Amino acid sequence: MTGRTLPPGDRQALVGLGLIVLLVGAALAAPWLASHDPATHVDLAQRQYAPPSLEHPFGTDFFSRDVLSRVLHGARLSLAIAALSVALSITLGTVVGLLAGIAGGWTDGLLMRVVDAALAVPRVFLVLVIVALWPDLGMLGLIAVLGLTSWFDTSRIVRAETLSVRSRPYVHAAQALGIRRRHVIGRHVLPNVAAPIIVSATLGIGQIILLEAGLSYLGLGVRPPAPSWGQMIADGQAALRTAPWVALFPGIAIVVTVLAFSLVGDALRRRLDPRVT
Amino acid sequence: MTALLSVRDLRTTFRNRTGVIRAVDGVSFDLAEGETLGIVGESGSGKSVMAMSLLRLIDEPGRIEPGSAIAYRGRDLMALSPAALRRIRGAEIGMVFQDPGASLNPVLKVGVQIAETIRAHLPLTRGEARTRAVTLLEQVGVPDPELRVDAYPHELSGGLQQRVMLAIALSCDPSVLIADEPTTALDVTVQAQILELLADVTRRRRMATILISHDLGVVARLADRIAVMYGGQLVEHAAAPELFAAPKHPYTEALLAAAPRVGRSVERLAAIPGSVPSAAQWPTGCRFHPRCRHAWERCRVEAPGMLHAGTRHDTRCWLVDEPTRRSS
Repeated sequence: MTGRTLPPGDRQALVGLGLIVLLVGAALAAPWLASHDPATHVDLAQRQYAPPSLEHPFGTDFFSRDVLSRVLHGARLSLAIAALSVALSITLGTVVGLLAGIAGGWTDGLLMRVVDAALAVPRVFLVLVIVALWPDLGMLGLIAVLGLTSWFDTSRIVRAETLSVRSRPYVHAAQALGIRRRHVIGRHVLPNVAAPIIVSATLGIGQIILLEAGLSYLGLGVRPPAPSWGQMIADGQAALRTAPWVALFPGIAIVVTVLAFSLVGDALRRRLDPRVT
Repeated sequence: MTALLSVRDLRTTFRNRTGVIRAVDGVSFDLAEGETLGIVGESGSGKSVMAMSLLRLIDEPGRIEPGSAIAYRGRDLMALSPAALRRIRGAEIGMVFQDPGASLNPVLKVGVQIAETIRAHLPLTRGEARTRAVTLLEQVGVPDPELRVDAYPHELSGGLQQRVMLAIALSCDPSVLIADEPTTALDVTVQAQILELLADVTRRRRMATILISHDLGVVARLADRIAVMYGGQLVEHAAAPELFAAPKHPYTEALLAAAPRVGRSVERLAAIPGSVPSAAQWPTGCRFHPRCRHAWERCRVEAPGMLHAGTRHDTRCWLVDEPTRRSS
């Protein structure tokens, strides 16, 4: 495909994709890339709030920890949490959406009213309430809460798509040919509703990273000393004037990550969903 | 001789907020082993709903009314469990659809789709089903079947797609084939090839066939008997040559007059005035009376049943009773 000029949207998507590859690479290689242990206090007396230098490219924080190492390990944590939460929410959303779309009738009505009710509550509040009521959440608990509160949109999208695919001639044909019901759903309906699911997942990762950063910033998400971007910003807030690098670099990491997933998600949506122009 | 497929008083209705739509309203016919029955009618006459009803493929809000009877080899299809019905669909009664492009799943290779139907009904392994798929593709005249078995539907032409659909319908050697407008979505030249293929395979396999079309020409080439459908009912039913030579129902006459034929030069083709009435509100009396040039008072009030008009020739028209009413 060389020599062909890509439309602007696709160029943005390539930038986004490049960034995601870089981020995932950095996250996976964090233990080898990071020059310091993210939790080690290098030299509490001499290197507290050390400005960026060759030794510490992103500087150090209050506990003299290397900010670059913490940002790298933070990527590992943020991406892992987001990926697992999204896997959970997409699975749930797909199952509920397919069920509602195929069963129809009162099953559909009941499921969608529950989803409507859940959607009526802002997600941040929903998550905050759960996390506040259940303080010793742990990492898996956090993933579960994030995943369990973000499948509502997906289920609506999957249901809408299922309703349209269900009445396509090839689905009728499969039924007329005596294909088993689970095959009709699994091989004829599901693959043809995959496009919006992929879009929803990609955009969802960016949203979850933002939500997790917000929770950790409030001290309700990832517990110290595990390095989370949101919590690093909260740590750096006190020294924003004297040592801005402590909050700045994790902040940039969040922006870049969310942007990358949004760029790719939007491009996928343009490509896969002809209704969006 | 008992019929292979016997349909009695089939009624399929759809309910919506404004009322009941009687799409199929009392259709009865028999299909004998090895016989081809053509069903002809305009759009909206209920042909496709009738075809779908035969395999109980009607989704909500549609429903096949109680009292409708469909028997296959003496088994009452209306009474079968979903599982038992599934074993009939595709295995005993195969179906070919109108638009092959839309009736094939775009994300599955055609070989996989053929094999899927085979394995839904026969205890074959993946490999065996694939081999059978290649053989079937060869039988329906797909060139390079070993290559085409791995093609996606969009990589094939409309004609080849319809051959694939036919291969799927034939895959489990059904006794009955229902072909609903199998050539409507195809080019005229391809239409002829597909019809020839259809005629060839049904004859060779001695398969009973229901061929549904709005095109009398298509049906004429294959059918032993023809049933004409209008307003959700069969209005005339006769052996094919008889129907063409001596149509009894004014609607059939009008259809024949409206069809262009090679070797017959006319100034203008005759059109039937008006259009098919809405299934939500059929006309009173005979459903064709508002468009019929012979209609008189009785037609407006009293609905005719299927009347005997000759040897195995029935028609739903009062002219059989009162032939003098025929206006010239």
